[in-house]
Amino acid sequence: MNENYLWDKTGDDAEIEELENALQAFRFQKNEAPRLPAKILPFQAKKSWRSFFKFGLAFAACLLFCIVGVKFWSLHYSGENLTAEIKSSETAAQNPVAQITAPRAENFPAPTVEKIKDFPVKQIKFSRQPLKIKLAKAPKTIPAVKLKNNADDERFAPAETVAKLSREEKFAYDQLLLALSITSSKLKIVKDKIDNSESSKSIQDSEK
Amino acid sequence: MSEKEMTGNLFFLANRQPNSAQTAAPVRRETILIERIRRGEQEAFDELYKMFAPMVHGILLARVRRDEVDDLVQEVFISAYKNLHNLREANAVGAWLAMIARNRAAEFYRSFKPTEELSEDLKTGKNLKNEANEILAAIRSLPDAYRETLILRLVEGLTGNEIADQTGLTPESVRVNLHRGMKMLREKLGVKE
Amino acid sequence: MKSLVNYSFKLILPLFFLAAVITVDAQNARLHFEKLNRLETSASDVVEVNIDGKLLDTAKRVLLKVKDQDAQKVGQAINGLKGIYVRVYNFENENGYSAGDVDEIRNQLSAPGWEKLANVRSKKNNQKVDVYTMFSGDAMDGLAVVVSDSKSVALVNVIGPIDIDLLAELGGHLNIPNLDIEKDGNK
Repeated sequence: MNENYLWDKTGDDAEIEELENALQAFRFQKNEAPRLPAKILPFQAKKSWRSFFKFGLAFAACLLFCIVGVKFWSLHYSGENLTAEIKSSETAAQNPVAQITAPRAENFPAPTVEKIKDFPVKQIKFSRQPLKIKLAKAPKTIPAVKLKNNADDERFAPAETVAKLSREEKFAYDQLLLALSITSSKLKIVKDKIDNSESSKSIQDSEK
Repeated sequence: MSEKEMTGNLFFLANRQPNSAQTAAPVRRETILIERIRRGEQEAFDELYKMFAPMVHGILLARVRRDEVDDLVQEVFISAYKNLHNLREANAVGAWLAMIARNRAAEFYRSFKPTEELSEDLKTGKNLKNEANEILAAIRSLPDAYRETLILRLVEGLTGNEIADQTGLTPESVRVNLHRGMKMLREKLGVKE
Repeated sequence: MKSLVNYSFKLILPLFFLAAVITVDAQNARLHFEKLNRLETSASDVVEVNIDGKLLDTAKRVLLKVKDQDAQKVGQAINGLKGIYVRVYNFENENGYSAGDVDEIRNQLSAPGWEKLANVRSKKNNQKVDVYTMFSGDAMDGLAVVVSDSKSVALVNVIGPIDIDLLAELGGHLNIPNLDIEKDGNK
C-alpha cells in the first residue's frame, strides 16, 4: 500500500484507487445551502436630497461665517481708520461696479459686483465700528425620518425609538416581543377557557 | 546618509518592533465567515456550507442510513446557525460542525443491516453497486475513528491534511487512523474474497 | 485578625450557598427541548426563540427606552426574567407528530418543583393545554406552557418571575413584528 497516496494522493495505488472509484457513488453531491431564517434589519435610510441640502446649507453657512470673520478681522484690526469712498457718478447706472479704494487695496483683489438692479451709489464712510453680521436664518428643522422596513412599517415600534436602536438592540427587542406575544397568546387561551367555564357555570347556577 | 545606512536604520527599527505583530496567526477564512454569518449574510453561510458540507456528509454517512444523510446535512447546518452563539472559537468551526453532526447522527441513529441494503441492490442486479455497498458496509463496521476518517478519505476525497484541518484532529492522528483503518478494511474485504 | 477571617467566612459562605441554590433552582426550571428537533423535519412551519443572558438584557434595556404604554407594562412584567424559550411547530396534516415527543416534555414537568397551574383539554382539535409554575417560597422560578393540538405544538419555558395575568391581558395588544416563518430551503 502506498502510504503517500493514502495521505495526499501523491503517487499511485491501484487498490485504493479502485476503492475510491467504487465509493464515488456515495460522495456528497453539491447542492444549495439551506436558507437562513428571515431577519428584520433596520431600514438603511436612503440618502435623500433633504439630508444633502441640510449638509450643504450648513457647510455654506460655515464658509460664509469664516469669510466674514476673516474680513472682519482684517478690517477691524488693521490699526488705521479706514475710509472708503465710493464715487457716485452718472455712469453708476451704466457701470454699477463699485470702486472701492482703501489704503490697503493693493493687498486685496478688487471685488466684482454683479449688476442686480440699478441703484444710486452713495458716498459711504466706514469707521471703526463693530461690524454687525446678520446671520442667515437657521434652516428649518427637518423632522426625523421614520425608519421603515422595506415591506411594511407597521412591523416596528414608534419611529422615534426605532431610529435610535442598533441592529443588535432591534433584533433582541423583536425576538423578545415575539416570544412574549406567543406566550401571552397561549396564556390567553387558558384564561379564556377558564372565563368561559366560569361564566357557563354561573349561568347554570342562575338557572337552577 | 547613504542608502545602506538608511536601510540599516530601518532594520534596526523593525527589530525593535514588538513581536506580536510578526507572530500573530493569520486570520482564517472561517473566522471571517462566522462573523459575517452572525450578521445574517446568506452568502457567507453558503460559502461555509460549501467548505464543510462534504465533511459533515462523510461523518453522517459513517453513522446513519444513506437515505437520511442528505436531509441531516441540511439539519446540521441549520442547527449550527441557530446555535452559533455557542461557538467559542471561530477557528474551530469545523470541529464544532463535526461534533454537531455526530450528535445529530446519534439522535437519528437507526440500526442498519448491511444485508438489507445489499438485498435491495441484488434485486436490481447491479454488480458495481453491490460492491460499493459491500465496501461501505465494511467501512461502517470498523471502529468509529477509523470509519469516519476512511469515509472522508475514500468517499469524500479529502486528503489527510484536509481531514485534520476540518475535523480538528491532529495530522498524526489522522495518519494513524487512515493507516490502521485501511489495514482493517483490507482484512475484512480480504476475508470476504 | 483570625476572628475576623472566621467571621467573614461565616458570613460569606452562607451567601455563596444561597446564590448557588438560587442558581440551581433557576436551572431546574429550564426544560430541555432538544428531543423536539426531530419535529422540524415534518413541520411545515417552525418558530424557535431563545432569549437569555445578554440578549435578554439588551431587550429589557430597549423596552425601557420605548415610549409606549404597553411596552412599559411589559417591561414591568418581565423585570426579573432570566430567560424565555419558545418552540412552535405547525404541521400541514393532522397527527403530523408523535404524541410521545410532546409527552416527554410534559414528563419533565412532573419533576419536583413544578406545580400544575391550569390544564385544559378539549376534544375539538384534540387540544391539550398545560400551564405549570415553579416557586421557591414566594418567588417564582419558572413557568411552562405546553399547548398541543392535532396540527400544532407550542412550548414556552420562562425562567424567572413573570406577571402571568398581565401577559395574558396583553395578548395581541403590542405592535408585534410579523416575522416570516422559517422555511427549510430543502423541503
